[in-house]
Amino acid sequence: MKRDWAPTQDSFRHFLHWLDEGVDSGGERYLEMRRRLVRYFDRKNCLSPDELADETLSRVAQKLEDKGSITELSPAHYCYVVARFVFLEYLRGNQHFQSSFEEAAHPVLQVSLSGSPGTDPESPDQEKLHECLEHCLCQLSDKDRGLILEYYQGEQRARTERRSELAARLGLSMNALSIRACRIRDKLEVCVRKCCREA
Amino acid sequence: MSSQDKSAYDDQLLIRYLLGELPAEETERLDELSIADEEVAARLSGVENDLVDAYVRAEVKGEDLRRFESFYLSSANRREKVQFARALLTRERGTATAPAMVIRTGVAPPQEPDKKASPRRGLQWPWPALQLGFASAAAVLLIMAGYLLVDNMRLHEQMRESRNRQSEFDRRERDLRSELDQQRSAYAQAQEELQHFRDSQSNLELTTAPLLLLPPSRSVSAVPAISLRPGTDLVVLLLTLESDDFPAYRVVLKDPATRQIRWRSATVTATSAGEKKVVSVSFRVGLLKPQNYIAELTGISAQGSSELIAGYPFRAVLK
Repeated sequence: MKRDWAPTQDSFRHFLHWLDEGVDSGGERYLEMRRRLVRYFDRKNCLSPDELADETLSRVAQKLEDKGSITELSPAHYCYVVARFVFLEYLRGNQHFQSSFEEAAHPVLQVSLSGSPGTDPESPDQEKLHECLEHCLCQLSDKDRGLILEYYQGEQRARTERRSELAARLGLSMNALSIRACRIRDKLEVCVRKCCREA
Repeated sequence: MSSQDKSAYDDQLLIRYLLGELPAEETERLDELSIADEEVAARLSGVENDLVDAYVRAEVKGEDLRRFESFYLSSANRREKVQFARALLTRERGTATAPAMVIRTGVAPPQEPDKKASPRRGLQWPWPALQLGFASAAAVLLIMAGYLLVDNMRLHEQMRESRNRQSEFDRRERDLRSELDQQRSAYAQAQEELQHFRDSQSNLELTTAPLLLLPPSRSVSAVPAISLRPGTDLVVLLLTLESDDFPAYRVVLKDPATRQIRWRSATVTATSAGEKKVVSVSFRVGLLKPQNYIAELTGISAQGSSELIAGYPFRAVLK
């Protein structure tokens, strides 16, 4: 496998088409697959889930270019098989593995404490986070903003009932509503992270 | 996915997966589904968001809380998710208290002095109206005092919880360090597994065992068998169609004795194999034991409705 391989415009287009499985998603399937891969590597406690997800997609695209077509597995399943290889290779790097646990040991406390109810809501970081949240909420459409705030509002017991009402009002199944809320939340989280890092 | 299948992946199972509590085999199965199965991926996201929200609302208790703090919070990305959830909650609580502020400032708005009123007019105020005004103001003050009292109690409670948590976190740090040692020894095992993997694999050249299955017929015939040799990675099933009536298909692998689902495919399309149309799916060889299985083929219409087409029995034989 060539490590310095980069897709051409044609090979990338071919890759997107293959991921779409015949239904043009306008790149959505690619983004969704990337999100799933990032989360997979994150759940495996890898240090750079984004990089590993990109590495996986790059290898799949390269394989597709080399072979012309991949039919023995569905695109999503094939991505998983490659991701598993990438993960095993990652494990081989002793430094990565050890440092990920070293890294894990300390920030847990730091963040857990910062997450306790006694957190100072007016600390500069918290203040920035809230500013970014407001900023990113304003970037959403009125409809999406209303949906996400209502969907995730309230204590556990009241939330279920509210979500049923919301689904009925929007004419959606609970499942479809959940998927929509998750997508908006993903989008909002990405925006807030970006905003905080740029600050 | 039928409602029966859904129950196999209920929220509780997904929570245990997110908290790293499942056995390795089940974890790997969900790893695979979290990427290859659209519905499981979506449900997992929803369950994860609700879990994080429950944590910041202090609704996660006991062992789940311990696992959340020792396992889930061990990643920077996931800690950011928690911070995001906390910001959402703070915003929600801030918004929720806003109307109370309006009431407090809005009940007794300052009166614009009547510039035309004579100096003696004060003596002519209607006393019942004045009393009613004082009574209202007193009621508002009482409500405010009550609100502040409750709020104060809530803050005290939160401080107490915070102190408890801090001591819990100290304990967790010690536990985490011991867990770190254990993980290091687990790493040595992972290295062995990797070495084994590298010995048997050359990059992505997977060793496959294919099995062509004909459409089931009423006549009595031997159940086709697939021989699995050591070193085989994937089983490839080629289900021959009598007619290609659907734009897409799904295959579910079942144990006929227990009717338990061992694996399910993503949505696939039929391809040509000579004059025949086949649906090709593959899965890890580790899913099979030496016994009989049924591969159930379901057709999916353009409208999204599904219809069971046939069950293709076969037997797995390990060599």
